[in-house]
Amino acid sequence: MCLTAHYICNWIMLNITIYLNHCEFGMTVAILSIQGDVSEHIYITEKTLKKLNINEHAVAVSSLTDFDKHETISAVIIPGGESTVILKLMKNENLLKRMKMLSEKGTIFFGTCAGAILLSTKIINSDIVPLSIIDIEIERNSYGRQKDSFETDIKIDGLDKPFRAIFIRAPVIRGTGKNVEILSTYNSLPVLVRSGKNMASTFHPELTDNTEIHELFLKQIIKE
Amino acid sequence: MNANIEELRKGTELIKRGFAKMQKGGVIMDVTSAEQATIAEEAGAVAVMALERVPSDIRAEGGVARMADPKKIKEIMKAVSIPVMAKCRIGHVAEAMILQELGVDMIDESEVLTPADPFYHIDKRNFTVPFVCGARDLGEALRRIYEGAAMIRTKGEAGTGNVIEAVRHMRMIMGAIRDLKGKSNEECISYAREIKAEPEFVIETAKLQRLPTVNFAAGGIATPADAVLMMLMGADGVFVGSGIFKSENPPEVAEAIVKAVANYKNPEVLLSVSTGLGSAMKGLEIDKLKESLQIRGI
Repeated sequence: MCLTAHYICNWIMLNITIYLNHCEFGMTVAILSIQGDVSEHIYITEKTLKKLNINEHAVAVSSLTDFDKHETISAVIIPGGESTVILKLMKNENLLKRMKMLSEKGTIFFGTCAGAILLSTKIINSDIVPLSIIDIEIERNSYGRQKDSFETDIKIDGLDKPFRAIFIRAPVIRGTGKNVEILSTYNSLPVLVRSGKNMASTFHPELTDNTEIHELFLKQIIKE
Repeated sequence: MNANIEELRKGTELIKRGFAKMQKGGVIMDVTSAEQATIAEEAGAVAVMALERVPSDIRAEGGVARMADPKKIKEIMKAVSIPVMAKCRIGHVAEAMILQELGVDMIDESEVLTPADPFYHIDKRNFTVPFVCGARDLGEALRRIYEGAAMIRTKGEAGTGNVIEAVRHMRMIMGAIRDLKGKSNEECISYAREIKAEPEFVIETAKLQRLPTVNFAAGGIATPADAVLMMLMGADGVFVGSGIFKSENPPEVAEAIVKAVANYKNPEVLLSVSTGLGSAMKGLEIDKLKESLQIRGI
């Protein structure tokens, strides 16, 4: 009798341990880690969270199991990379559906370059349906090839100083829905947009040391 | 316009290294035609390397291997929307000029082609197009980075389908970086002399505990498992040369390697993509090679 109780007790303890190992309590900023400059985003996100005094961590997520491990995901950041590759691998994994679900439940999204393509409602010259979280129409590699990649200073609504923006085989936002706020333009085309609390940039703030754009985004996860 | 706004700049170090960073976690595939390039893109390649002949054919046929005909590269550039890279001979500034003019997204100054200069590599800082170069150890990698390479790849032994040399080179580079951990600047400077590298870059590498640029694996990767082996050792991504289009089922092998690299920590996915792929490329033993490509341009 006593032995049985002992076994049951052990079994419960074991399950609690397993549960603790698989769940990280608290809030998480998930960096989608399928392909692209993931570690750059983790680095700048951690730096920004510290600066803003937010007690959360940036975690790379690449599968449904990874998403399950985290109880609350307050924000998802989609890095730069090759949008065709990321979309193809996400379809395989059913990750698109999961991310859409998170968005509907209030998780906020930020995408840079390829990430902006994933968040759009329509990719020009493509039949692939992206996440449709931000109402924009976007065109891939719109400035041309790598030789046309460039860096320049741009003015951003809400920032005092110009921001050094790195455009690498960047897409162009060709159309914006009525709920989309344009925070910055370059050559009169939108390069940083916000819809609700979701943001997208066609350039790469994660390639600079400047955390200001990540601050604009992550400030929004602070509960008032 | 605001006076603070600085003008537009192209081809900077940040843009060149930035391009390489966008390839991380991806598979770059050798292709010799527009059709192969389309297969690679559909399989999920992050970029393609446009070639006249794959390394295993270069090895078998012999002769001087040069830059591919720009006409062929152009056809490949037209066929796909992902980045297109092309190889030039080591030290062949003129081939690099042609490729930059053509507008390829990255140039591989590659030991797979017959070297053009017995003494020097190209001064890659003079180019706006980013370069990738092969390396066997940390000294070689940092010398290439000093010359302006925006990306490093292991040399391995191209065209063999034998992964051992790529493993050797990745182990050499990663091991040397781990040995640098906690070393003082004086120690780094002394070590830099030993490995014939720029002290500044050795110090940076010690601090970062990784190469200052992206580091891919290449040279002999033939199966999804080979690719994963390299990722587990710390590669940022992989190049697959002859391994895809010399296998029995190129589209399936290509897709399997892409999925394996994206899920390299997930054994379940690896098992599933490795099952029933047909025969891989035949492969060669390193001891029995007539010619070792990796000793070119060190």
